[in-house]
Amino acid sequence: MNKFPVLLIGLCIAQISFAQDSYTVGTLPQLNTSFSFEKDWKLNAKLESRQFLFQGLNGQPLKYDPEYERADLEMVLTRSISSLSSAGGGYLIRLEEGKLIHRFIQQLAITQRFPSFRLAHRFRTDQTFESNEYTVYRLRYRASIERALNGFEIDPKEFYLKINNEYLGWMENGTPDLDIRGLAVIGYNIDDDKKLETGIDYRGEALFSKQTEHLFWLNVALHLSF
Amino acid sequence: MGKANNKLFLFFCLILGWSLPAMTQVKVEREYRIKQEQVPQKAVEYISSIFPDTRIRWFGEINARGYFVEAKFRANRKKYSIKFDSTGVFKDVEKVIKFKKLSKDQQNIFEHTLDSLFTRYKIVKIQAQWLGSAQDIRAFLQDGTTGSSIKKNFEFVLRGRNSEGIAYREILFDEKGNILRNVKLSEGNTNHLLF
Repeated sequence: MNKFPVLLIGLCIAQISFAQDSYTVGTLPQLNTSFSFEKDWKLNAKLESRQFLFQGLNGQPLKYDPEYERADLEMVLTRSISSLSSAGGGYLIRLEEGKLIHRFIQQLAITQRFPSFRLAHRFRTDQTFESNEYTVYRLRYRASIERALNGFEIDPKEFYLKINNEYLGWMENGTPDLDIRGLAVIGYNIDDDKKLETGIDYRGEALFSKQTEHLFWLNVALHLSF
Repeated sequence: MGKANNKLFLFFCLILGWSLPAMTQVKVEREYRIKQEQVPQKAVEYISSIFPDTRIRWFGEINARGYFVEAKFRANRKKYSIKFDSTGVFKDVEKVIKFKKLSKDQQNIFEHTLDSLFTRYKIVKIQAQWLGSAQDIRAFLQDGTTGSSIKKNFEFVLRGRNSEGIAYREILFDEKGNILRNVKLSEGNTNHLLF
């Protein structure tokens, strides 16, 4: 287990070191709400937006260039298969540069408990549609690890560490490519239904292309459950 | 007649409440780090007398049975946890062990019991638990002497599948493999991990 995150981080760093690409730094606020219904159904609604602050190319200093990039509203309906797994589907609508983009999502999630941390696996496929653009098909896997910073369980009014690592294989007009994402945040468990997180979100996009984009976001997320 | 039926209903609810198997209980426990100054002196002295040069991490634990303090540390390459009540009176000591370190007879007993409870299971953690008088436990930890008051239990944390579905459970066995406690572990909210 200890070798796995080191290998993943190494892969990300290696990619950053050798690419001649573009870099972006910005903010990524999120509001994530979850509503539980009878018979193990749950609806998750997430509102997210991105703002660029600095942009630049490799070898050149980053320029302060603020720009509101986009806003996403994602709704995913899931049903528990067991107390440790769920499956479902959803829809995302994005407003970017005045255009509407639509995405359909299919998801399977499994959680595991270890003596001192939890590990969640999320498998997703999605299809993104935009007028006058090719449809983008993606296959995604994300691992999320959560560890208490006080004790072995995350209790109310305690801090925790969360690390995500995601691989997104995608295809557009027959051309495949790969994105890699990493997230490291400190979270505060207000109670089991309210969590506040902040940290760094890294996204390496189009790793196989000649111009990979490296995006670094200051992630601030509020998770609410009802 | 209506009142009699209500009383009978309440009576059966109480009976059912007492007779429900332990499998339906959910473990609710809160654990948090505390400073040594917050620990009863009796507990600090007890630990210091047995493990004088060991770095101890102290935790407070609140569960259905009350408030306890726990000393967690590593000694002789093993992880120990020694529990005291709120006044510093010794309660039990636990040590993480591997299944293969159990005797063959014990492995067979536990496997037989777990096979009867679950169609499939995976053991996450096993802790050997010793209870007894503080003096007998001190001698046991210092030189392995097994005093007459010492009882040994085994606490299994596992992921198991049965007719109720898949869940993580904590099962406490005595040395003979009899189940002393069987509770489902609460999974908690996972939305921040999945979305």
